[in-house]
Amino acid sequence: MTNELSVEHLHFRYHEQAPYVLKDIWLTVPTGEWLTILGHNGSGKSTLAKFFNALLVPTEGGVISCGMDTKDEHQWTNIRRQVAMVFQNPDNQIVAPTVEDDVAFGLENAGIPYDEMRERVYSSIERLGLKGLETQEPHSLSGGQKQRVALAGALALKPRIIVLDEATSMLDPTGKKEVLAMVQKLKEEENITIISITHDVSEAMIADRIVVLNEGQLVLEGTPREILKDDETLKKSSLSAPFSVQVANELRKHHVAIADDVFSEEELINALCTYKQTN
Amino acid sequence: MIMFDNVIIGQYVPRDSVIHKMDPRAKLLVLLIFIVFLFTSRHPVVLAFAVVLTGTAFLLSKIPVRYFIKGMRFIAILIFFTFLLHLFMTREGTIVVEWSWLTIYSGGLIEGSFIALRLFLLILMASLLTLTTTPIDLTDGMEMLMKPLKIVRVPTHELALMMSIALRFIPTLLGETSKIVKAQMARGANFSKGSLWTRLKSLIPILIPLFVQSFKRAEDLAIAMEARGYGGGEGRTKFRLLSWRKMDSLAVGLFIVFAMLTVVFRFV
Ligand SMILES: Nc1ncnc2c1ncn2[C@@H]1O[C@H](COP(=O)(O)OP(=O)(O)O)[C@@H](O)[C@H]1O
Ligand SMILES: [Mg+2]
Repeated sequence: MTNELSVEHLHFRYHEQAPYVLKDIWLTVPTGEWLTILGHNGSGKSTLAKFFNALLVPTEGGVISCGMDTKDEHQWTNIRRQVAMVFQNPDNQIVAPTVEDDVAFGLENAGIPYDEMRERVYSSIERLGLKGLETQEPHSLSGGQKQRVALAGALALKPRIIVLDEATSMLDPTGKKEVLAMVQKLKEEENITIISITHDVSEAMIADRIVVLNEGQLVLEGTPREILKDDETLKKSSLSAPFSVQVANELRKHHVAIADDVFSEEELINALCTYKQTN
Repeated sequence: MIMFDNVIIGQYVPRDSVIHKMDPRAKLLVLLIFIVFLFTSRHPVVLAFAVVLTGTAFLLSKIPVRYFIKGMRFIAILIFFTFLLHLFMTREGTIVVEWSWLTIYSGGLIEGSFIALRLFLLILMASLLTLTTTPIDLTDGMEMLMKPLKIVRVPTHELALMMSIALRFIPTLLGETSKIVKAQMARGANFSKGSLWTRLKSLIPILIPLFVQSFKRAEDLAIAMEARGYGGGEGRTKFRLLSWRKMDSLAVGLFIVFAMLTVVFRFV
């Protein structure tokens, strides 16, 4: 398996005198993986994400994105075509006055010829279930739709990696589900590597692998099951286990014998429904 | 939010008409020619020609009169005052009315009507442009027309991008303003009582959060644009193509004839 992204020995601070925001980060992401970077507010997640597509360039350590060194200025355009990014606030990343124009923005920048651009724009719009909204103005869309427009813009570039920097944190539960389902679909159908950044543990449950960032350091790594079941350790990084895990733990404390492997909400419900009272 | 729904589209009224289908560059050119030459000559033939041109454009556009009236209420007052000004200030021709301090000359009457008519035609043509062209097309048209200015280092691409981003964010900012107003009112702010000065001062708690938010937006947007590979106008392709057709050449040709006519009647 090849690595889509590798970060080595990365240190970073915003100013000479400022404290380090990132401390000795080592990270590799294999092709087709869904990696979640989990961390509380201010732990350095967005800063780290900016290194993935050369918005920030390492002064100490190195970042290789899709086989290209981000220090090489000539590769920046290429890197940004391969590593697409969706940000937190849907209102602050849509550039153009209509949906189709915005989806086209990245392609225009990349100098894609007219016919191919049209083709890619409309197929991306369709893939993300935005058909019929092509000429809508962004302010008339729901949050979930706006983030799907941003995703469509990313998909149109045919990237190898999509980075989601808290892309669902401003959405309502429906919008969240809607966007995450689309991301899942893109990952499976296009084999796009997903790096999602979040402070929401419930969102981290879908990932293949989680790394936990705390005060600029990667402190934990493992599958969602390994990481998210350990409330005590998560607390040290100012996070807490998902609600289903907390409920299960709490029940066990009260001598309700819930199996150890109960993790998702669905599993918890199953466990409760099939629970046999013993005394 | 309903009241902000049509801000970007602005005045645009979609219809299936030849004027709607015209290339925005042609419409802009035509308007430019019209503005420049309409005031060159006040010969009746020229004015008649101008009336015919405007009238034809108006009929072809299939835009109902009420849309014009809606946009023209304020302008009508302006035109009326210009008319009055000329009516009272011109002292040529024979006296038509003499009543205590007020004297109106026939020259004033004619001059006033001419000015009013020409202003009216001008506004009609200009509204026709915004009523039949989406702001996106207008921006594109302007960018293309300004292209030659690149030689003298006018940043035409950047100007067009600024305009398009402004269009994109006007509704967002309006929505935000109304949110802030409500939030401040919920905190007991009052925007409709007190002297003018107090009322002006009460705008401060609206403007400051609005500015702070806008700077945050601008910063986020700049990062998002960079992440999406924006690097200036060099090597960029366009999602929208403008297509210049026979009809456009015809329209521009017609207005060039009009322009020459005004010059002929002025100097011959
Ligand atoms: N542009 C910047 N200049 C200076 N300091 C910054 C800048 N952006 C972020 N920081 C600081 O870096 C730290 C990490 O921020 P960030 O990466 O945004 O965290 P997160 O995305 O996890 O909330 C914070 O302490 C923040 O104050
Ligand atoms: Mg962040």
